[in-house]
Amino acid sequence: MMKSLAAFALVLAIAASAASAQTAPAPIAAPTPGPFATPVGATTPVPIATPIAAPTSVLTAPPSAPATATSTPSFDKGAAPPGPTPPSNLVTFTGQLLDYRKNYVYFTTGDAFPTVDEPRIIDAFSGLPTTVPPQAKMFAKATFDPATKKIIELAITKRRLQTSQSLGPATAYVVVGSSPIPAPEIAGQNLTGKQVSVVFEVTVPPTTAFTDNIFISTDSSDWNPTAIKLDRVDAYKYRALRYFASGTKFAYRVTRGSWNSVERGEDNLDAPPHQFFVREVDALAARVTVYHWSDEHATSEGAGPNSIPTPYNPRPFGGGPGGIQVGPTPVPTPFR
Amino acid sequence: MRFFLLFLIVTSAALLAPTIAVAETTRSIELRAGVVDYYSNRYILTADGNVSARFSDGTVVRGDTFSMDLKLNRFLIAGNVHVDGAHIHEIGAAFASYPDLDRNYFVAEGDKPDRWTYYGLDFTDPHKGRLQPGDAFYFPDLSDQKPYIISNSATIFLKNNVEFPAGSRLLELGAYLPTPGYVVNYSSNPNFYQNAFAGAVLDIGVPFHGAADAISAGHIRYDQYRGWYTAFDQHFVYKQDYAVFSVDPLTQNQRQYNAILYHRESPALETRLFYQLSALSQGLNEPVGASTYTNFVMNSKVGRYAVGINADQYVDSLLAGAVDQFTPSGLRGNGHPFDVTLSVQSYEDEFRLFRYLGVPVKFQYRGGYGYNHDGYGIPVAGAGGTNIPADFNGSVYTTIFQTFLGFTAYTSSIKIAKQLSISAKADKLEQWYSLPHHTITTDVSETLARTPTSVKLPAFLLSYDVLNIGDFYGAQQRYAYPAYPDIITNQFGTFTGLGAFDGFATARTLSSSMVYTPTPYFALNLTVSYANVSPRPVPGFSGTAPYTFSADVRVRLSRNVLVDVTRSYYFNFANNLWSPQYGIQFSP
Repeated sequence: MMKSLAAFALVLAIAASAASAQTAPAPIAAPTPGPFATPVGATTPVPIATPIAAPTSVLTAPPSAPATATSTPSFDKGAAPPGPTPPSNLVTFTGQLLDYRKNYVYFTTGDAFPTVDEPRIIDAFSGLPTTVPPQAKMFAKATFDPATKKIIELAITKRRLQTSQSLGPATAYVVVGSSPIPAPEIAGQNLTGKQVSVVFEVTVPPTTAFTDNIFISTDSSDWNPTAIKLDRVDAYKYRALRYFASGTKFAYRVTRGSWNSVERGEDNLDAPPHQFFVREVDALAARVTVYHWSDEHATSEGAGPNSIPTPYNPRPFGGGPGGIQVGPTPVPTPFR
Repeated sequence: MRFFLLFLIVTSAALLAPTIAVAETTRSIELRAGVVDYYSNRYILTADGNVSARFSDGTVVRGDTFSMDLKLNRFLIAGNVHVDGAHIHEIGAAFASYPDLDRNYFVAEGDKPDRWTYYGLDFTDPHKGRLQPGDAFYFPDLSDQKPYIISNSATIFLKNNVEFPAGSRLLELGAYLPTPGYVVNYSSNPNFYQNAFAGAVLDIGVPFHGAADAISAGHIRYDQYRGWYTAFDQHFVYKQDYAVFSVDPLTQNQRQYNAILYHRESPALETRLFYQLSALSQGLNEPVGASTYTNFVMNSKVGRYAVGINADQYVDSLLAGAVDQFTPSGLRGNGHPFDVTLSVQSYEDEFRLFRYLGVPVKFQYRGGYGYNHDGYGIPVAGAGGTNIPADFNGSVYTTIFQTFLGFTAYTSSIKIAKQLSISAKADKLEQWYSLPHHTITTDVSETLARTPTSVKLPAFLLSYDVLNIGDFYGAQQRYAYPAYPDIITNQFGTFTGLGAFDGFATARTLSSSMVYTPTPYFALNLTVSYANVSPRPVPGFSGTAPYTFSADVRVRLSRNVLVDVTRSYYFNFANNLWSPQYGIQFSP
């Protein structure tokens, strides 16, 4: 906070000296705002409990499956010599790598598989041996030797591969040091990130003028007070429809277009933002009742301040026709 | 005696027991790496190459790669991971943290690969084998996406903001431009966005410094009066409290120095202070003009009433020797007006009888007391209002008290046919002043709505509103409202009807609208209204356009870009056909 105060003081000093120059700064385009439509959690839904795979004796490939020798073209100097291509009926698992260290391959599922001392490392697309070491974020297809229960070949690439939906038979090859223990805090609903239609329905106070615009402002839109515009559908209700991925979580408030005209509670106190979580359903509704606006006053008539078009109040609609002062000087309004 | 011994034993055991590590989560992460990328449209931060993440307790996790979903508040460090801290020195394949769950998940190397779970920052107990989220170690798919910010370090204040150092590059117009630092604020606390800036056509905020509870931001702004200019604001936020200090414009001689201080005293009481100093000065030289405005608001909940105090203090000129005359905005040169109003507003209530009749009618009422004072004389209506000091029929009023009462009654939307509903509302406000006059404002409206259950069908609205205002001076009516010339000729033509105006006016407005939103990607809103106003409007002087047609079209061009175009047609009122400006807004 002290740094911020110092920055504030510094900027004030700079401003004062810069003011006399009166130079117009070059415009800079607005920063890219975060999109509201971006599903928070669309690609990484909220935690789903996945049991640690326990080794089983399920094997799909015969232990005596013959290896098919294939000739491979020459490879880069220093690369491992080409070994025999594993038979196609061996158990495989495709996923994204976390690490490859000390004869273990770790996938983003959190599972670790042992490798033989010198597994065959090949490029996943060319099928040729490669000197590129397996690294985090790479995609890899592991082929297991049922006899040793170890990976004998690892086909790697930085390009995205279709990953295995589950460990399947590879479950038998997972190495894990401890028996699984339940973790109640992560038990939850399975969220797929599917598109869910969310209807925002806002009931406004009866003093809201017919032509007022109502907006939803969200933390996902950097609290832009005009992020989602709603349409009036009856005397008190405004509505808008948006799609969100299940698992999306956001906070929002209702405004009339600025932070000077934001919703307030029935007690006319500032209320915390509404929280919304998109569940794994087909459609949801976010309903809010606004009791007061922050810019309304008890002495304002129902239709809002300055809405009576008379010489007594000669600028009823700022910015529109009639707002230009031509003719006799108006009498000052008695009370501000 | 037994109890005393038991007490001694328990107390001693408690004092001698080793300190149990508190499982708090990290509050911040200092991130360094070969490259740090921020993807603004996903709120995802990644880092690659010699990643080092230092937590607020001093624990350092190193690895090959890092990714964090800022909104979900979870991060992952993978590849050759080393965790080093006061109570931990471990090596593994990946370290994932879920601060909201108070859990850190570790894929340990050990003698045999294993999954460990740490509670918060308590690294003394690995909780081996405890189940972990199935996607704890997943990387986000960022293929085909360009980072918005590229840097080599960042400081993350969890659930709040990310500060990138000077030299970080920002993607603008397809090119990466160096910045003096940049702060991405992703807090769910909207109070970081409170400000006191005047309206501008364009405002580009450049937050350049941040902390867990503060943000400093520069602004580049444009409006039709000032042109291009800069502004600065400093935000401090703590829970529901906030303080904002700003200068706007910063680089022009006419500046406004603003401060907003909000404090939530309790769940039922809040206070807000706004102070604005307007000064005209060359740099930091002595101002040649200065005025202030202060507003203090206190709101409270008392039973089922909202009680508020609103006070305003104006100092129209802070400089000595100011000429006491009316400014173009109608302010006195030497005015120091002060006003305070105590208001009480009821919660929404219902006439139960009407519910039994099938027409639910709700109501609210309000009342209050006000005090106005200006030692230089309060502005008043009438011919003497233009004098200095202003007088009403020869009397200068330095203090005026007022009392007000208001009542609002309204029906719910009453279904009268399939998809068709009707509603009505009425509001009346009466104000009495110690300068002998009172005002009565009455507003009555009815709305007919056709609202299909499917959003793919258009909704129609028809509303009729009658607004009356009367300013009653009794025998002094014509003194307060001297007759205007009945014929006014200006550049827009010749108009009549103002001569009859004596403080009473009526506006009857018929409005109709159609809303068509067949998909979330397209919306059409058409509104047409007719206003019959007495006294009749005079273009360029008073009143509103009798006929207005407004159109609002919103089209989503892409997942991230929504274009909103609005414009109004005035049917040649004051020589205006279309509204002078298009309203165009790009938003996500």
